[in-house]
Amino acid sequence: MRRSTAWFISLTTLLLFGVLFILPLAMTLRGGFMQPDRGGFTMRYVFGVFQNPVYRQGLLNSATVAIGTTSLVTLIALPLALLSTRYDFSGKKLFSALVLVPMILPPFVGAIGFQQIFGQYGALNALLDRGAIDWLGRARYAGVISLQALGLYPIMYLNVTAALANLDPALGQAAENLGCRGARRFFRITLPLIMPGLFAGGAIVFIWSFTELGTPLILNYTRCAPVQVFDALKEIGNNPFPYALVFVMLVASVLLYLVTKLLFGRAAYAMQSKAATASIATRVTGLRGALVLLPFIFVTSIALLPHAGVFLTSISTPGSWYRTILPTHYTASNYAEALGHSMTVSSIRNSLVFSSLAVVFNIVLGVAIAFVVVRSTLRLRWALDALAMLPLAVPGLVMAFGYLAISSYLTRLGWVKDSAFWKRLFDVQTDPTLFLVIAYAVRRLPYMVRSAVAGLQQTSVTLEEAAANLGASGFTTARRITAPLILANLIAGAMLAFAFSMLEVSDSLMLAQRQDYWPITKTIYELFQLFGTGRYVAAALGVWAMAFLAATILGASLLLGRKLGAVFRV
Amino acid sequence: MSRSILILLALGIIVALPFALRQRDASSDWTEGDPTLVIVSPHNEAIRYEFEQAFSDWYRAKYKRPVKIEWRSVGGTTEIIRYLSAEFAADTRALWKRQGRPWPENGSEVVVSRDPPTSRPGADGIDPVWEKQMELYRDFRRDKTPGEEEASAHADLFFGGGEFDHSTAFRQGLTVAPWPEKSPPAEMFAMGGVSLIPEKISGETWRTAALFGNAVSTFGICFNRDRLRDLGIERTPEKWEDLADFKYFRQVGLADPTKSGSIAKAFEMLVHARIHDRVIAAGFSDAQIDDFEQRIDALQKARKLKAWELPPDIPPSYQAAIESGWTDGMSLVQKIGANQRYFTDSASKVPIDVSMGDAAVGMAIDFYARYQAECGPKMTDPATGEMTEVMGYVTPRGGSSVSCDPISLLRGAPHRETAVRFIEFVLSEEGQRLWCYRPGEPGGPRKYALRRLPIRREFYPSTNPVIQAAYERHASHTVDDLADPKIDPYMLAAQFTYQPRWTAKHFGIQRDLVRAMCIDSWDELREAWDAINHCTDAARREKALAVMSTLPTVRLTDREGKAVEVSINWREVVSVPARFDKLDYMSAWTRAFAANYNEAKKIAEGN
Repeated sequence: MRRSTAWFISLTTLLLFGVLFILPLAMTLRGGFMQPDRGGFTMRYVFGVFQNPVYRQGLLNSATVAIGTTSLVTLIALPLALLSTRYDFSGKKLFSALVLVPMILPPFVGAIGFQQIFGQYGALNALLDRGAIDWLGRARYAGVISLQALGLYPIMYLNVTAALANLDPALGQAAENLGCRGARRFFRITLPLIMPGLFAGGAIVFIWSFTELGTPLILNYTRCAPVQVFDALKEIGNNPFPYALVFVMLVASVLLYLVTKLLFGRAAYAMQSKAATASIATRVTGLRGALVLLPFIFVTSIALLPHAGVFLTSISTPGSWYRTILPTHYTASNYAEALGHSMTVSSIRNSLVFSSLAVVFNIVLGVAIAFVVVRSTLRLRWALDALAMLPLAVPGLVMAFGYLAISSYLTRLGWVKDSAFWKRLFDVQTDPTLFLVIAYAVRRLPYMVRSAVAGLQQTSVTLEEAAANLGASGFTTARRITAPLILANLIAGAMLAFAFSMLEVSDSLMLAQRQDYWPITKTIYELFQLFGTGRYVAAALGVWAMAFLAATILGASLLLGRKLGAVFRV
Repeated sequence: MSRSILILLALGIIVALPFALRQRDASSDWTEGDPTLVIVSPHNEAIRYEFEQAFSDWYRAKYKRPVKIEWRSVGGTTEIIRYLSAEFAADTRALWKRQGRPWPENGSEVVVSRDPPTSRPGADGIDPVWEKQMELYRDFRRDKTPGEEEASAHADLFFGGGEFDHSTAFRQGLTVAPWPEKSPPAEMFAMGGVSLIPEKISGETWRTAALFGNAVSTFGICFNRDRLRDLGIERTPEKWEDLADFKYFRQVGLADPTKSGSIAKAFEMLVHARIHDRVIAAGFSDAQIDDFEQRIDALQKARKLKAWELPPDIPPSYQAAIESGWTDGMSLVQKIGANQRYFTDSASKVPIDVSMGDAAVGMAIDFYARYQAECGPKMTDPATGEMTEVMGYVTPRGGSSVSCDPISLLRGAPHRETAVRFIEFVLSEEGQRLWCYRPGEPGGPRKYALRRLPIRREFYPSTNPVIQAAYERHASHTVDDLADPKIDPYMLAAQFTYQPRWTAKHFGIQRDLVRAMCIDSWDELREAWDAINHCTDAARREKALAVMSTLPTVRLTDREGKAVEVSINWREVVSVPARFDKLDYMSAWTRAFAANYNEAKKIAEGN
């Protein structure tokens, strides 16, 4: 990559990133660095985090949870990805798609799903018939780690599968030829080659679980940094402390990320060629096929328990699923109310628009950043790389406050105030589309960046150089050579970004203020707030969202047909 | 191929379903040019829908035009206050800029601050920064002359939330009185010589010049009958004290007082009730208490007494009982906190969890609990053989005040006239009926039973014949029996006499204490409490319990840089926020409480 191009892309992305992410973040966090009364800079709140033993321990616990979750996720996802790449078995297509479903648990009602299954009077205890065992109340580290791992392993699975797809099978064959087989081949050949994918998935899972709020809240595990931030943010009155705590969490995330990158992310072996062999998967049938299928069935069925909880809630008559394995009375009326509600149709349209635009934006920005990170020699690339992970670590509420502040500032500028066009663009009260798309895109950027970086690392730069040598322009090279080579990674990243944009909560709740612009998550929240039957109706809409996302993912893989099959090797 | 078609078909059906099932809203005759109203509200969709429909009808009948309401929802009350503060600060700043006035240091915080800025004069006795800040602070709150430009949040009303939030908003200057001082339309608030919306009741503010309560509620205990039986608890809980029983360990769902003013109020009332018990136990009657407190109040207002000083003819044991009652109340909060399953910010979570059996008991707002009980599972009552709701709800005797849900007019409201009419509507009989009538009843809500308690006196039985007649007119249309003594807020409020001197000043610091004592140090508290209750040695147990419930004394550096010892007691704790930095005292308290708990655990385990 030419140095000037690299500089141009990095500065542009840095500028975009600065305006769209750092600025709103800084606008909120500055509260943690200001003296009361007179303003003036102070670090005492940041130091205060470390003075209080409870917060020190919270940070430590979060780090432990993150390490545990990432390890468990790797233990679950890596074997599954290897199995699905290496073998061809009946049911593979179904489970390769199903394996992704755990990550699309809708907000608010997801917790109800957990409780219906694991609650003291939930389905599991009804099945075991050994009294009201308090699974959720007693689960500590182990509970948080396993629940998070079961929700996050698809991220790792997607990234590793994409990495394996990029692997030239000739290398494996060469190794076997030289007598390197089985575990030895895996550790000496396969693992080092798929390291970029493993690292991409691991980094996201690690930072995600370090800053995850939902699961600890469900399990009432309060001594961890994200819950402490949430508690302080929600506190009445103006408390500068949570902003300082968020700052510390951000710094910790970046440091942890850089340390892991130094340890695991450095060695990347690029493939000289895209695999020439059509398929290397061995067909297994009968008992052996069943044996290969078994881990998929096992993992998926456990991971989908909360989803089953949400689904059964959505079809049960209020109050009829209590101390029983299954609901005792069923109804379709929750669906009639949820899907028939006047807010629903427009919120579905809104979510689709916001999320699709966000994904497009993400692909452009993500690939640009990835190019600089992988293909340039700028020192700056390290900073850009770490910065691009930051959005994962920022609590949604903090970003939402920042975007609100910016919108509120822009709206009051003279030229915005007097023009219907600018007002529509910048005023979230008039139309929040721009800010919601930005919010979704920025917060989901890490998936795209990680996937694209992994793809580029595995693709040898010599292929691009060859194209340039033959007279192709930079753009042509990117379009004709690079893009097809990293397509699998881009699709993986885009799917994650789309699914998680559709399920985004904090920005959706705060930025979409007028009902005409509510996305689907806000509608789920509003339905959830209705007394009595609210959670059943909300569950019905939640199931709709899950079904839609599942069908989209399945549909995408089928629509792209052989192409996706080839890139993913499924 | 057929499989692709199948999946695409499925996707098509999924997308088409909502369109097919879509229910058309009742067509509105509102057209461009008709009045609109912008309301910021945490109320749910059911309430928003009913009030919008009914107000538009009411408005059309009175003023011949329909109204469209634009609801702004930005989340819960905490988010609303933060949002409004930011909007007003930004708008004031833009206004000052347009007028060419210099924006003072920290202006965005000062302008919407609850308290005026503090002056720090230099050697010459002048503080120029403060003067500019003060000018901004005053100018924002000043009544503007007609036609004068005023800062605005581009919204008209703040509807719903708690009295605390609306009072805070008023102190911040975000809301204004809709009618000139002390002269709201008289007919709205009185009938047959009886006040229809009292200004204060049971220690709660229901109405001021700027905020108007329109629905009321109490905090109480909801419980799951099956869970109680499983845990071996025979008697259903009746008082807050019952929740301190170790049998409820890990089974009490609590609402978080640090995140909501109304819940903080509920905790205050719990401590207040404890003080009342102590004072009665010390041999004073309710009549004596009223008499003492009135005299003390008069003297304090005349600035002849300090907070804890008594006139010579009131026995010191009275004050001692109050102070030990407060400590006792905090200790009760601590034990309930030790039994907690969680402190949640979501008011609806507790009754849902309790009705599902995921917590045995919990602290809940009455209407949430009643609604949830009805929609929750049913069981056969072993005593009567009849079907009954699994979840029960009780308002603790003399342990809860009745708080209100207000509406306030926002400063700089763009549609002020319509907004004031909306307040009138909400407080009128027509508006009030929406809260409690069955859907479909004449004058009732169209679609949803809101099942909230209206604030107006005439919806409840009375000895006054005019009020009683009005009550009887409504009684046959309401969802709940509003004459039920467990429901009637005026009867519940009468059981509770609030003495502000006992706990009002402790309101803010008590939240911090609960946080340090039960929330931040929960892990240590829980382990100590568990160990104590499993300790078989009576002497050790006693000792450990004493250590656990000790309110610690900590060493802090005050704002002048002097190191002082600070104890947690009724007298001293009130002044803590003014004397010390919050960061310091919270950190010191958390550490001290955690140390106590670790010590108590060690003693109980015999190490």
